[in-house]
Amino acid sequence: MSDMALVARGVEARFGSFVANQDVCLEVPVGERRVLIGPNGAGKSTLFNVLAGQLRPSRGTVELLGHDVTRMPAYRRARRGLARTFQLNNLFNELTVRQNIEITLASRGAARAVFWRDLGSVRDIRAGSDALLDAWEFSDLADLPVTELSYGQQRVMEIVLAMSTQPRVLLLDEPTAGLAAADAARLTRLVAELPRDITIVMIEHDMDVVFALADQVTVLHQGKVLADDTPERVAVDSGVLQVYLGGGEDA
Amino acid sequence: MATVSNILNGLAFGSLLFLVASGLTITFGLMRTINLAHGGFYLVGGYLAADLFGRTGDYWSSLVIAVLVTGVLGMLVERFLLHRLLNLELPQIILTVGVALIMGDLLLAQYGGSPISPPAPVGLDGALNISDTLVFPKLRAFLIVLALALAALITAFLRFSSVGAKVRSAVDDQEIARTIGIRVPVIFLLVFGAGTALAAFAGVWGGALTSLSPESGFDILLLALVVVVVGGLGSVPGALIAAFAVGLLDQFGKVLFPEWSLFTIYAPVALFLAFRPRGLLGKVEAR
Amino acid sequence: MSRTWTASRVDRPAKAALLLVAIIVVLAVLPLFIPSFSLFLLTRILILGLFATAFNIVFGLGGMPSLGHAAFFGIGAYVAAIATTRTDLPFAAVLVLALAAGTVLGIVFGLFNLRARGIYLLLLTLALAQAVYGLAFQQVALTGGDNGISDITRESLPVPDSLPSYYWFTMVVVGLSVAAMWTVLRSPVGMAIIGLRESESRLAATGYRVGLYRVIAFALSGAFSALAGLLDAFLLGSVSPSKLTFLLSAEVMVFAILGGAAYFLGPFLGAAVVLCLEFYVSTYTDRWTTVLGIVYVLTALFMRDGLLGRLARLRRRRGRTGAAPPADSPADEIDIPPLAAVAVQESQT
Repeated sequence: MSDMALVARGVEARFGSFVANQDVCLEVPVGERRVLIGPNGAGKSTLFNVLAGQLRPSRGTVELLGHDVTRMPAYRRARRGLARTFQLNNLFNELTVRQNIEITLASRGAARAVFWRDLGSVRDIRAGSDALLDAWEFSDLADLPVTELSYGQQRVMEIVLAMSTQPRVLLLDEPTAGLAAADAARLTRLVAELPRDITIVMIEHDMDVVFALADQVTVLHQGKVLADDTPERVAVDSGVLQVYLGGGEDA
Repeated sequence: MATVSNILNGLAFGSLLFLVASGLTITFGLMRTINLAHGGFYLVGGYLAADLFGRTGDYWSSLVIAVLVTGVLGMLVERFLLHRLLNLELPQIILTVGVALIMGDLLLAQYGGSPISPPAPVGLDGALNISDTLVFPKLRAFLIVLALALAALITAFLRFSSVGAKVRSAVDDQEIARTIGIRVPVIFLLVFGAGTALAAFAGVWGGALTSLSPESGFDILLLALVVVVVGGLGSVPGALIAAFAVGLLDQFGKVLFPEWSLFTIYAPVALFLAFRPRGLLGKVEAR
Repeated sequence: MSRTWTASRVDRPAKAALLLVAIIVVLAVLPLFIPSFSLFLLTRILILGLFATAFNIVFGLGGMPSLGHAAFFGIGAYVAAIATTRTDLPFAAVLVLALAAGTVLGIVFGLFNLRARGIYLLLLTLALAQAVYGLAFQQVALTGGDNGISDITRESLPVPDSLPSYYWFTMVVVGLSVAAMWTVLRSPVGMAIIGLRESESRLAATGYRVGLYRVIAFALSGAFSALAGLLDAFLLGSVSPSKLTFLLSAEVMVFAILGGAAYFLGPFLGAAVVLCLEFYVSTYTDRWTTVLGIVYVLTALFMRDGLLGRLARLRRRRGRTGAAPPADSPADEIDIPPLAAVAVQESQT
């Protein structure tokens, strides 16, 4: 089991009487690119929140890199190598690009307890942010507040911040949401070029992206797992087709 | 017997708190408007009634005029000041504290700093002989009945009339409310005016019970605020229960732990709110 | 915040430093030129400026609106008063005690408020402060009750007992405190506190323990607020429950908003403006409270981004240089999210 990056077993998530995830099982091996798809309201974001720790499931367990993290809050999962992006841009808006990166870098180890030195001057945080800005081509935007970046740049920032912590498992919540075709393609390429030792689980609606990136696709519908297979087989699965094309069922 | 007397006194004070809190609950629960000038309107109502009674000797007309005038004053504040801050709760707090400071200071200038007591209505002075050993002031007994009646009245009104729904929709989305015919400015004016009129009403009775001075506005306001939050924002029955609870806490605190009495009210309240922010009967609202 | 943090023009740090030195020099030589009642005012400005700056750690920078900060100011004042008049403790010990009291009370506030946001946070801090007020008011044997304690002397202080000396002493203490707060705010801990305001969910997802930093913010804020209270006690020679009232909590919030809560020195400016106004207006009328109320009303209606925010907007319009000022003022943002009970872990759709 230790070659599984992320495991969900029998996960149930409810809000009052509304059950958003029901008996969800998921096993993502290390290094895989897994994409979660499903109509709106299928429970994908809820599942993400359960995996990432923003939400505690009412039933079931979650394992991260072999450890049971079901009861572990989000910040501790982050320290164990999990990183996530958000569907709606969720950055430190009034702070600069560089500050966003440096705060993220400072979250590791003893740096976050330092209160007597400038953020940038702690250990090699400034060097680290320089390197990241360079690698992601944000150097000339470094001192701009994040609110002044374009929407597409902010989407990429979400990924930059997630990658800053050198995670082992990366959760991307609709990374191309709201992006024009060219930007979406660029971002897809970015994700495709991420190192293979990182496990990536992604929520996506754009089928081009799904086919470009996915090793395995999991389909959610009304809170349950409908199908879990390679992209080619999912594309011809009758159940999935019915949900997406046929039936008048509401999501 | 002392215990029964304490319980009754506690309930009487709680009834006063409910009278004050009822106006707050309405403006807060319906309009999501925070009105920290409520204590100021309470004072204005009491002082006006006392002034008028001093001039005319007629209790009921003094009460009615004081309540109406204060209600109008509240409407003016809403129309020209608060209305611009719809849904901005923090600025509302600052603004209404400012209004309260102004009202308190003007009352001080006009009437001086010594405590005054608006009159009790004729017929309610004196005491009831409940048993051989227990005597209870009529005014306080009446207050308890008044609080219960008012709670029932307001709850019924909100549940069975369309006002509640109209106001809520106006707060949520003014544009849409307007298009379906809800006269938004009028509704806000009336609701806020009703809230401040209730505050004035409470001021007249409360002043008769505990006397008034320009500084006492905030003391009663903060207790009423606590009652509203503990009861659950927007819940009138909740406010009633919370008011009685706080009244009893206050009374028994004073009797049993006189050196800790304010603490015995606010510390449990703080603990309660820390674990249950939405109060007793508060709803979890989503915008 | 971005304005004070980023150096988008190279000459800005040098200019700012020069300005600061100039101000310090001016402040230092003032006692030689101005009458003592003005000196008294200036000392009060320094003290309340410190209080407002400390308050803003929680409010403008941490994004947590608190209506209970008078409790910290008051506890510092009372601890100083009680320790000085009832014991023989040296001043250094009194100072440490006051700071410790403020820190501990801050931790208590922070812990109580772990699950509270927005309006609930406001009211909870209010209730806590009233509880502390109740203690001061009613524990008469300890605190002197309504009359407070009024025989505080400056004998134990390491400076001569005169107003100019106390002024310089206050200048040094306030200066060091502000510098300390500035240093912390630029450090990882301070930036995490600012992260609380910007996005708690991102902060948690990054690996920071949100609750811990909330408590740290309150503790830090409480400590320096208590220090301000101590300075106030020695300035006036007395303390009373009026140092713990809700009105003081509201006033320090207005200082912060009026000056500009998005800026580190905004609250200090706000305090200075209001205190100078009070000084000036009180010479003409008894109705200062009414004027203060008007200031509150005008601030709420028209000055929500504060004086510094207005200044930034003016400069931007004129020069089109420098980074843009913060988009919303905390007075608008801090607004209180809808009246929903807050789950310990946020759930997004």
